Amino acid sequence: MSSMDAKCPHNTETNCGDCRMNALCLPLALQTNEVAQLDEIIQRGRPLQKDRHIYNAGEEFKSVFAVRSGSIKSYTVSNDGQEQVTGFHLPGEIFGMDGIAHNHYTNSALAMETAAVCEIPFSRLQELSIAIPSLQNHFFQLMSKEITNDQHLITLLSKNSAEERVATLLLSISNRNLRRKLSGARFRLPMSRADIGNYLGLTVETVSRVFGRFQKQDLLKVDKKEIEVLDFDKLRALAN
Amino acid sequence: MHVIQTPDEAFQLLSGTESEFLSPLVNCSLDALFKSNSVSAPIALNLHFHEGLKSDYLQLLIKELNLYAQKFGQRKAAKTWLRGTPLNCLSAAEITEIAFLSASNFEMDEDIYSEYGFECSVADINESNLALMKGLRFTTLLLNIDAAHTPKTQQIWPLLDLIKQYKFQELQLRLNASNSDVATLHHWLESLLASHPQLIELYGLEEMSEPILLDQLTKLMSARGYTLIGDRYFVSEHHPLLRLKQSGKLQYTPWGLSHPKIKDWIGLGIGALGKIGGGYYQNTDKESEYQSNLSQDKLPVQSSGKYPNDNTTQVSALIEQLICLHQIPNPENHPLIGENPRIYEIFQQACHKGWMIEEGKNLSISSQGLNHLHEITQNLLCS
Repeated sequence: MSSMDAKCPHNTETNCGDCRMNALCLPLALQTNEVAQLDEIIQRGRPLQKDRHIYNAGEEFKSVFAVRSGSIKSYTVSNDGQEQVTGFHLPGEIFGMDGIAHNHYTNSALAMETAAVCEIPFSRLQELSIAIPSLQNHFFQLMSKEITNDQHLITLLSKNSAEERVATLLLSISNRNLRRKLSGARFRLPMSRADIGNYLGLTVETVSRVFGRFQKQDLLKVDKKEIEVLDFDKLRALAN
Repeated sequence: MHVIQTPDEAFQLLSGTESEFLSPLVNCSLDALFKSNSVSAPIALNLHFHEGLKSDYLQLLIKELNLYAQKFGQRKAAKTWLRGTPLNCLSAAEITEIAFLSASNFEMDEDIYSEYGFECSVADINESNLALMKGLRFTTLLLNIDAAHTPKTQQIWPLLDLIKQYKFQELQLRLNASNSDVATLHHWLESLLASHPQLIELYGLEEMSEPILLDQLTKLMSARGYTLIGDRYFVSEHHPLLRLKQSGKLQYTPWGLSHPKIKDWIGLGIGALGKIGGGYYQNTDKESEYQSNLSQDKLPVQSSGKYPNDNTTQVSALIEQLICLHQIPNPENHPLIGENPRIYEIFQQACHKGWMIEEGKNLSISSQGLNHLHEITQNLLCS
């Protein structure tokens, strides 16, 4: 059995190949006992109900998290109480890195639906790095890549037209599903139109209008939260 | 104490006036500096990276960081800077690691005078680097530019556009004019001002083929909404440093002008300069010594110094006022000047030459006087 077919020690319902954590585990060619050591520090919590917080902005940074199932929204709250969505995190993806450089979380993270996460406490990771020396460096590589990719997306989304932003978001979710060996053409949007609008800096009405336009142009089929992408080439061209 | 400044080393003084400020330092023990540090005031951290260092440099610097955390870790870091060429020397993983470790060892102060900054050069500007630094919540980008080559040669405009997309809180530009000419410098300023940086630092004016005078430059920049502070920094309207200048609360440091609440500046890395307890220290500029000291859990300090006596300290304070505020209290009201005929005479002569003018209770540097700031400070130190 190849290592990619192995069951993920973090979640027996997930194959290692689907789990973003495999970037942490497998390339290091960890021995079985080392996987067990790593598995011991990774905490698999109980399922989280919808609207349950994983952490709040301002709390001390202690861990990063990986989404096992469901979806997570990260957001900040301005001084005048306005919520700003800063990211959506899907299964296999890592979040919580916003705290890494300030020792406290700058965002809050909330389950958008029933979800399950793995928690990786940083202090324990540093302990384990003594026994597995390349682990910490590998983890920082993973972190830096995720941080860079997240920021790329945020910047991309902030500078384009409404159509370009919506198209970019849909393509991003499509690609992220493909990485998990799910369909990139048919998927469910776990977030509300309001959250999409907030994240993209658009009103709910504009988001709905754009979806409507994309349907008329045969780019998409939209049925509430269910999306089917009909024309990837046109969607990519629109995302510029 | 002789401050080492060699090319490519961590520390360079970019101003003749400022070098006078450091010239009276005499050797003292490092312990003497540590004893006089302010226990609760915020600190600043300068972590130095430059090209050609060995692969274990980061781990050594982390060790140095841990040693300082033992002494200063209870104090907040109001400024944390990655100096030199961090984006060129470190991988994305290493930058993430050092960002994490500095934040773990020192709680960050977050007010309008705080900075979480990094230096870079034109060659470092690309989407990946900017995305990483923005994602790590760096607030301030300082771009080093050599004005010897034209903006077109360095393809500066698309780079400035790219920087703008990442919306750092503050864009600072440091322009080396020493090998440039007047026309090229003007072209640079026109190009750079279009990107509305919050701060432009200009140095090497005296070394230009046709030197441009500071008062000429000040007029040019003032017409574009930038005000001179210190002897080479131009800041935009409403900049926090300008407010500090206007309220008389600005301190000079070798790393720029700053709020005086930051008392101690920790320099980490080979050749790094630090300011603690009113004095200065400098790390060894030899890689082998840096490594050897840290492997024995010793700070890699080569020299440390302070001002020798109260009189020198007071003269330095006067020079600091001149550099930072461009004015001093009227000599008739100033105890040091009143009691020192030589110093009094220096200011009298400065007034006589039109370099300083009376403005209410103060003596202020005139436009013409800006061009002679170095001379005034030299004379004060010789007094």
